[in-house]
Amino acid sequence: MSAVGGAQVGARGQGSAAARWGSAAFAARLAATTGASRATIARCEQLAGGAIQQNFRLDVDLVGGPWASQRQLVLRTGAASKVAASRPCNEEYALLAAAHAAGVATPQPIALHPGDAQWPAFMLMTFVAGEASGRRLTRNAGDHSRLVEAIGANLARLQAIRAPPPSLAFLGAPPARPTRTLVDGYRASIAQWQAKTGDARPVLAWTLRWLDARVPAREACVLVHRDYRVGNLMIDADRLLATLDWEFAGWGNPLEDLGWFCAPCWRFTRPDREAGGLAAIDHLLRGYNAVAGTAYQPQGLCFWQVLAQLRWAVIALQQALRFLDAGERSLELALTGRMLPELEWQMLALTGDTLG
Amino acid sequence: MADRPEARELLGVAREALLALIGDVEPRHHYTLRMVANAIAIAGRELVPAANALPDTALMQRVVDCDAADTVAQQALHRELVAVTRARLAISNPKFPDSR
Repeated sequence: MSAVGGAQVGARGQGSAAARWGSAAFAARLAATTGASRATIARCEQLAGGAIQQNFRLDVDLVGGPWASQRQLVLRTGAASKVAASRPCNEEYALLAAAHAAGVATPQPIALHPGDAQWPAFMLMTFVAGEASGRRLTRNAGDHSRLVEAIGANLARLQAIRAPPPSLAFLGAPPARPTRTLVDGYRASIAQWQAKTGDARPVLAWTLRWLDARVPAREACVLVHRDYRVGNLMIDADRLLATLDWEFAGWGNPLEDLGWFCAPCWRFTRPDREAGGLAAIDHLLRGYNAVAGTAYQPQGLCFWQVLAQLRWAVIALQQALRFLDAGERSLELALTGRMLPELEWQMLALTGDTLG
Repeated sequence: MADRPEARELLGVAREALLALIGDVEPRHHYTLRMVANAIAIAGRELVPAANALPDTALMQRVVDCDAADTVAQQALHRELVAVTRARLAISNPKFPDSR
């Protein structure tokens, strides 16, 4: 997850990676991928974040083909660090393209290279200038209620993709009970952690029990982004410009994305502002409900906020296990594991409020 | 049970990260960096394993056994979990509870 920033231990290679993607050899590949007769790369710079995927800004001059002109592009490709649930590049590209076609604020998809012996899979999209740092965005004390309404409306447009195009066939059929599937998966991951480390996590067990008692028996199933939060939204002057990072998208309950956006772990410097550290939940739901035709209320999000906290905790355990069990000597992975008490503290705060 | 990775594991990987930087740092700073790396190694060796051990296995069993319909028992268990988590945070991020 891009919020888990930082570098692999000993991975001095960011400069060399940019040099590779900015090379003349790659320019030839870029021309072929974009349908241009010739491509010149004037600048290649690795962008911040991207623990799972690497992103590079390319300033290019494309001659011939559908995208001919001087352009600022983003090249997105896999990084050394992986999360089990992240989708391959071709699927992420198809999701981005479907969302773009449905009117969701996204970068414009340009082209996909499926990967070959010389170049790994990568996707190209337009560069969108703005701010995506959750820490910086939430530090701004202004009134962000209109922005948060727009964020809610944007999410509703994404979730309106109910009959996906053939390009999304890899998603398979929507499950009948997506949330039950998620909770059971988290339980298995936590059991795996305990089996491998001997570390009992009673707060996670408590949270699983709390969720088990409240998992919806019947639920809607829509296309969800599954990482929809401040930090994956490009914002400029309180305007939502683009939704980034589509690698976790799939079928799920529509409230899952809303709960993820409002979870305490994604409020950065403003824990008091429940909607992503930017505004009150009412503003998010006002924007969402107006487009989706729903009548969701803030109190209906508690379950989904707890689920979000548990999901982040499971990801943290998986990352720590890569350090402890798989021998990946990464300071970032090690420190992610030590976030557990913070996430557990927030789970206890949320669930404690429901005990009467 | 100590939170994992525990202190010695963190110091070990932090030391590796520090040493990995040496090639990118001016040679006049190499000696200082190596001293810091050495100090980390010594501190790691002196740490008592699982110094922040907490009795979580028994608490885990109480979570599993707790009657979901017994509100009073649930509240008591919740208070205990809060106390255990606060103790963990005292090691990993002491300011966190008051910042939320």
